[in-house]
Amino acid sequence: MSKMSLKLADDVPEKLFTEATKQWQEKYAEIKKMSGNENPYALHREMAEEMISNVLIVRENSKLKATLEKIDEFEERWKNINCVDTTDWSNPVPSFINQLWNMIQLSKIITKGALLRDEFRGSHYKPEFDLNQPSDFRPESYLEYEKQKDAGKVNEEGFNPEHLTYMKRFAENNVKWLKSTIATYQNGGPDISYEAVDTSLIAPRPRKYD
Amino acid sequence: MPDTITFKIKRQDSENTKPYWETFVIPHVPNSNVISCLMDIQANPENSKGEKVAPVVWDCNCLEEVCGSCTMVINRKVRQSCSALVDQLEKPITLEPMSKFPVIRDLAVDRSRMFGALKKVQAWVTADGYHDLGPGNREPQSHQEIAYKLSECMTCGCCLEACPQYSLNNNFLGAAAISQTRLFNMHPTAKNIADERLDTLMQEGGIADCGNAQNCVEACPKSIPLTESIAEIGRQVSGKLWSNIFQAK
Repeated sequence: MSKMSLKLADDVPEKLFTEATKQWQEKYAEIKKMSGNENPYALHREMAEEMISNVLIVRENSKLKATLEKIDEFEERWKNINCVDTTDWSNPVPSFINQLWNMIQLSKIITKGALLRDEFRGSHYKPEFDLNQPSDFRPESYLEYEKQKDAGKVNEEGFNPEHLTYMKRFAENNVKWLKSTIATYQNGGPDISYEAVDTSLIAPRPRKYD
Repeated sequence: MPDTITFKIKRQDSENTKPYWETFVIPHVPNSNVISCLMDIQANPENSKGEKVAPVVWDCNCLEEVCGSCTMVINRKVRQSCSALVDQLEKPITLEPMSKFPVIRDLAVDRSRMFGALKKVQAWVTADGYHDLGPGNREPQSHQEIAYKLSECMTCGCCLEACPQYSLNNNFLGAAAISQTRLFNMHPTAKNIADERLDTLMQEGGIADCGNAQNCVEACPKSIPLTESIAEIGRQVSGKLWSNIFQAK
């Protein structure tokens, strides 16, 4: 085992804890003072319905764009929440309101990340960017295609022409989109950037959806 | 089907305040369960008199009847609220917290005594240490069949709520802990401290406190054969008693 420099809780200045305690006490005191007219649970339900309808498996850019605007509205409406229980004993409401704010931020990340990605992979499907995989295509043939490409010469006659054009589309799409979406919090919202995916252990290949 | 559902809920604001009943009328949604109705109340916390009140507090987690945290008394019967389907319940629906555990607030109770009982009977596999102990002993198929059922216990508290012997004022360990003792006493590794578990169950609050009412097995939502477990532990404890008498320590 490598030698690690262990930092214990006792080594951390006391100020760190007292300030964190103060920060959260102030935050909860602020939440408890919220006396608008939005019920936090009803707002949560409304946002959940919006996300389930538009940001689930099938995603369309126009709907994602509209949802992003809707989430901004939810964020505004969050500020008008009524803390429906202000008692001090075993009260789940203030922490729910705090969590709801974080859910709004996370919804923005998911929706914006999906909107900016003009393609789909994994469990998602964006009909606008369908690469039209031929129904008789086998993912293994892509691995063979990549192998030949790496060796410097693709025997194009060896592949079904329809499959070949599909594989070219797939390879081209990966050049642009085989990346992880990274969200950083900037100016009150997510800023999206991309990071390369480590494919050293398993070669990416088309997925069959049937 | 009616358009509204009436809930009569026994509420309590804190541990030491008096409980009171409050009625809520909510729109009827087909296929709803008690938890989805409590969520409807959260989204519009208004009682039947039209007064704005604090939303009802309850515990829940898995929503598929395997965690036990949403256990409450529904229409006088203890069960999980996640699997209590509104369309199958008599109306108005009454909700009460379990009576055998201290109420924290409204329908949320403190079940730590149950977890304390599991600690007392050492309901765990006693394999500890930093060195590699190698593979454990194999469990025979005949044991697996019994153990699997016993392992489904989710420490929900239904057996204790139904038990006439278990109360806020005694220290009976109860059916759940006795059944877990049986589970771990038959486990090929955990049985090495079987005697310690039996010693615990021979003391006050142990197996002798069982009155054989057999309510526990009726109330168990997982259909665990609790009375069989109690009988088996009774047999093990009797054996331990005789060996204690005739064996010098």
